[in-house]
Amino acid sequence: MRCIPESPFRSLGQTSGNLVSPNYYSQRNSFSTVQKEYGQITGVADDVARLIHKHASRPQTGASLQTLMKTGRGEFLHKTYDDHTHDDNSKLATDKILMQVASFLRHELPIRLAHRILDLDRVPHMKEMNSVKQVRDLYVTSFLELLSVEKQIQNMKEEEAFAAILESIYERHASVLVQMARGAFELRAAIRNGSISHDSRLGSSSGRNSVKFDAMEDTHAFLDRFYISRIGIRVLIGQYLSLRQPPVENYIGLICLKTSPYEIVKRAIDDAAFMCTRKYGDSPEVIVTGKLDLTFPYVPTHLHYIMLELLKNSMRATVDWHGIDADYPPIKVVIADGKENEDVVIKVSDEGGGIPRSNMKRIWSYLFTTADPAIQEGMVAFNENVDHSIDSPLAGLGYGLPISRSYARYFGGDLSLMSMEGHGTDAFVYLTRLGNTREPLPI
Amino acid sequence: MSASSLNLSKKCSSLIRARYAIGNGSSIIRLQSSMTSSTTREIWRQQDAQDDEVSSSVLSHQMKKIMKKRIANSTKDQQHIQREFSSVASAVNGHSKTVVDMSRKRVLNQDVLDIMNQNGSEVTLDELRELASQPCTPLSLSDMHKYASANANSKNYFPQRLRNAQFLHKELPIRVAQRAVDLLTLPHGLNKTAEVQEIAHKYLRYLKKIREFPVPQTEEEEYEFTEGLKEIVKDRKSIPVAIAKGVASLKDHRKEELDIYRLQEMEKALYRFFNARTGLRLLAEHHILSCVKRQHETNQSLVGWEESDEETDCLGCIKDDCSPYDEAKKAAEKVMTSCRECYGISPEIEVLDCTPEKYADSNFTYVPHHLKYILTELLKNSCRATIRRHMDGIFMTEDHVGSHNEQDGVSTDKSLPSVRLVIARGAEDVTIKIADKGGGVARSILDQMWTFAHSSKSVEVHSKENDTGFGTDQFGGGNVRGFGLPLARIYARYFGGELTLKSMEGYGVDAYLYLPVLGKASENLPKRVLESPGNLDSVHDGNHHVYFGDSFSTGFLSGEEPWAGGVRHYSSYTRIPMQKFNDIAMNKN
Repeated sequence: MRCIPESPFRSLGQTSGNLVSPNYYSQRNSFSTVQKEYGQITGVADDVARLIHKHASRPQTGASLQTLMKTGRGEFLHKTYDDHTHDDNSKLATDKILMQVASFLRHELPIRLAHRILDLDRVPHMKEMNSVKQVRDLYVTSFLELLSVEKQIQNMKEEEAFAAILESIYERHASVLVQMARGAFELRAAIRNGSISHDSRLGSSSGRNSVKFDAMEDTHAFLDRFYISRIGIRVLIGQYLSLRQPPVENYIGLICLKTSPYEIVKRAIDDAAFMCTRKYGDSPEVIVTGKLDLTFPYVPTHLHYIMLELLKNSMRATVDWHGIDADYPPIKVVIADGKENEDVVIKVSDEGGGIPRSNMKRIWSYLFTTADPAIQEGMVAFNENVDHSIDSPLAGLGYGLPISRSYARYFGGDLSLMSMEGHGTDAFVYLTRLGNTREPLPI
Repeated sequence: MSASSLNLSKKCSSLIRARYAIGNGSSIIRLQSSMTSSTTREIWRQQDAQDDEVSSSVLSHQMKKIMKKRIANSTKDQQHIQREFSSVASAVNGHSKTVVDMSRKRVLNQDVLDIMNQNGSEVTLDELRELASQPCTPLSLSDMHKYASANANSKNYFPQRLRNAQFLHKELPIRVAQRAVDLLTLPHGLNKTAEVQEIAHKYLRYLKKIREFPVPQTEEEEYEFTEGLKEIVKDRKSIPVAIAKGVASLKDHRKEELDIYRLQEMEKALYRFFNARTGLRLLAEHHILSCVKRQHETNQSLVGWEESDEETDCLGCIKDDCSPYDEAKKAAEKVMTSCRECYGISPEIEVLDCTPEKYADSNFTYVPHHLKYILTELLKNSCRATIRRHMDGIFMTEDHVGSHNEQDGVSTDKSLPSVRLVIARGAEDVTIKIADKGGGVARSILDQMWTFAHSSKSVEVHSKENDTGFGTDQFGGGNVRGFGLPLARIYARYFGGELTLKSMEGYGVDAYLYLPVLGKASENLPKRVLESPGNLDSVHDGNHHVYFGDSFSTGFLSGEEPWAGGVRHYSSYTRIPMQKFNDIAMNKN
């Protein structure tokens, strides 16, 4: 009999059971065969493989922004505890919330990690890259570490120990993004060298050096899955860890109840202008219009990351297109919202020359980049444990846009770019206003 | 035999209907829709025998499995369905391929016979099937341009006309037959509506008419043939109107909303039909209009041109140096005028050309009346949205202020936020953005704007716009609301372009129209254009890789086109562009 703590997230009928595709298991032959292969390929002992498969066969449980907020406020305590009377100021209630969330994470995280580990094992070509293997090992280590904790977290002492483990996992995994990017780079290099032969699915290459990254839909889909799932895992852990911190006004964990797009845009403008000025000596003006006094619950760091990325791109495009020392047309930001809207929409328009339609595909690609090889080499040698900061090691690698889109999509929003070749580009950021969309859980 | 197969398909469909009611797992519904298509929609088409047997048994096997799972938490209904199901499954399993084929023929038979009996058509079913199963020959813009470009006085002019006419004489019956079959097999009872049946019959008459002409061999015969075509092109303006009516009557009749999967299937069928129709019309129109000698007498209103005298430098339908700015100006004037007639006011439409200098001189070869249709449709939508939002706003301020000055209340064009139309030319595309501040729509309903069976207007607006003609489509007469946007996109995609809407809820909508620059001789076609539906295969259902502009995803998940992700019909993805054309058109014997 499995002992699963009654999860608060389960309460809204949000388990992702129906997201498991019916052919998920049949894809991988029978269990025993897979297990055998698995043991051989990876060299992991049989029982570890069994554990991973066992956990991967369970459904992941999704959490919406609202669920995260309500749990953080203790509104779901009655799901777990008989005595659920709580007082906002009592230390006891906070402890209960923390233990509840910790128990949920103890149940949920191994499942999510197991899904990712199997995905890492399956992806063609990528799995042979050294960096990707390292990432996989990291995931297995964290997976086992989580399993070493008791299933139910009963008292604050256990909770504290669990938090310490999560903290170390959180930090250890910070470099995963960079490592996967390096994996993608290694894959490019391997294909160029011919050490990985093209199969027909990759598209026939007309020349030795022309690698059709566009055609590698499998790898793209895998990376998309991987990154969006990683955002999910990190939000869950980050939310838990910040719930442990002393409370901040208007914040529940990572979530700011009164996120003001205008404030965030302003900050992003300052950051982007600073970076642009440092590089080019000048930066275009940015005009913000629309509903400036709007606030809604969101994770401010996510929004800041997206806005900074868009503004950076717009500024660079404007300066490049008009030339240094020219009079730059301003970049326009519009924040739209009405009373009954489902979305908050932010548009960033520049007049930076745009992109031809045939190249639009590439800007969402993890495998294609215009960055010069020197930067990429630098990146490969780079090993800093930073996720995203102003001087991200991913700068110039074209990862910003796809990752931004994953952030936007994570809470049910979207990001799309419309370009007018010869004129400029408009970026549309859609964010769900009520935050009641279930998080996407790639299998 | 035939009785049992009829019975079989009947059972299938009733089962499917029942499953629609209960099923909520998407995979199951998808399975069903694939079943629907394989058993009813594609039924008439000849297929590989083995394929068929395998797929039907696999299908029934899968359904059995799923049913078992579902039954686990069974209700009375579900048990009933299971009984139904297992009988269907055993029927499908037990019947050989011939029976399945029989049931295929049956469906087309029934529909066609109904119509033939009613109207006494002389095209037999076998002929129709024979014609419709032939692949049609795709033409590119450059081909069309090339074969129309002969100077009226050159000695090549007449032989070229003759070759074109001969080509059309072979090609048109195939396409017309395919459209007729399209109509007769429209899903979910749409093919049974009186309006659609009437048009289907019209197509059958055209088919007969074209085939009555001898293969043109002399100038006289060619003239006769072209005159005949002219009648057909003129005649068919009523088709979208009739189909819209058919869709509307279907909606009224059923009272309840069509459920989403059925709606999707219908949209897909309509998209395919109109897409192919665009190609068919363009071929015929082009042939008629490229008749240089008789150009002055050609009725240019044929394609909806009112200022025909301005269009003298066209080659048939195609204009060498189409100026998007001029077209946009003309469309803007027209829309502003008709908007004032309808509402009394109109937002200002600003037309801006932001083309960078280096592309300013490049040529843009396009079909002006397509461009005009798309622009007018988009501008009308923008103006309508702006005015409606503006009206709301006025009422709100009135309530707010209380005492209201009469003179301030008089709205002028200046008091409305303007609609901006920005044109930019690049190396690949001419991009036109139309931005309004009409309040936008929610992201979740934006997709609906691309469907045929959708209208956003309330009843009173309807009647008001009917009076003034603002709401009517550019097709002769009728009120075809809801068809404007999807048709505009079909036109845009026809030569490899794209049309996308981006909405900012609470603010406005931006429409982006991408049209490939084809250049003077339209010979260096971009890859995108080479793969456009109009170029490759006019019965293509649009389910190929479409550049959405910002997304990798094709098909359902992209949410861009509800019909994506389906099966293609009759003719295969033919890549025989010019060879076949040359065989037919250049054959001097």
